[in-house]
Amino acid sequence: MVSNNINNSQRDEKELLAGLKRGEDRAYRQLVRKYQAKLVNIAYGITLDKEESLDIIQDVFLKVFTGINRFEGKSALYTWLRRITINESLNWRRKWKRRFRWHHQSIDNEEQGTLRELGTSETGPERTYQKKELEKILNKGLNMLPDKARTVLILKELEGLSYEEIGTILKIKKGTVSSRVFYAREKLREYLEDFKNGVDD
Amino acid sequence: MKKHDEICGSELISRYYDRELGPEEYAEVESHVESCLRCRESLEKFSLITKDIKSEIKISENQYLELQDRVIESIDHKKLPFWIKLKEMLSPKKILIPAGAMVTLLAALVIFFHTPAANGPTAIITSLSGNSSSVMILETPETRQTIILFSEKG
Repeated sequence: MVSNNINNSQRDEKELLAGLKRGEDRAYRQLVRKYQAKLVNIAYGITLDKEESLDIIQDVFLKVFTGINRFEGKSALYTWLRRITINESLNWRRKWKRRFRWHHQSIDNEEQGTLRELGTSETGPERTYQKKELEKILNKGLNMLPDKARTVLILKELEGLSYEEIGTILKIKKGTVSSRVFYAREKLREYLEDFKNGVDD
Repeated sequence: MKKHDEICGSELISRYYDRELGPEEYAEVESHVESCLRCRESLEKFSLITKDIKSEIKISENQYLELQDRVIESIDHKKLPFWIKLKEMLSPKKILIPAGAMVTLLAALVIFFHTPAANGPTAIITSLSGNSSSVMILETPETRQTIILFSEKG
């Protein structure tokens, strides 16, 4: 039963790839529908910018469109898409940091004040408000992490990849992946605890 | 056999959480975790972080739909033959409006900054300098002008 599913999915991917190489509209629509959510989440996790992650994924699919004939099929289609997404997101992040280093600093400084304000003035928020706040706080916590540590953590948590797989994608050693994941988790844990303590006070 | 301190609060806990340990190490860490409150709390926090990242790092359904349309549109555009893209680039809206704006801007700049050349002096006929003032007499084709300059020092 499991092997049947694998065979089916391999056949589907083969057909999809053939359709893409023939430039079929239907195949591109299927590709976008199938993978856009996962890819955009990775891009968002790395860039922490929703709008930018949409632009990045649009470019990723365009790159696939223009480069599909060079794709040799040595890895799964999604693995290829994911690699392009990670590279594009990291490139964007590097460019962004170069251009707006001063701005980036000011946001970090602002963080402390905002957290204190939240901790003292907001009580009993509604569910949707809580969700938005959680997203904001998590976003800030992730933003505080070095890009390298955050990227590794995002790939671990969102994609569930093994350390080995992450190491292969990012061209780093398995041990480095392990220490970065641990570092990111510890920093994030401290940050969220500090925030929680601020709220409790 | 690892000591308690080597495991407690270490990277091993994170690797244990990710199931990235060999069978022996896994068993050792597991036995430690069972008796260590601090490490159990760490694991709970790691689990919360996973849950939060999974639930919060995503965009809305509307944005997914928007993205789908954008991607398909951009691919469709990419498929257009070169001459159609060129025609689009040269469409009146894309060329005439910016060109019109540019001409208007240039005209405005010329009006504001261009001072018509006055009939310049053809020659300084004569000039006289003194302690407190100087006098220059200029000649243009139509007029003869006398300019008196007062010195601030004087």
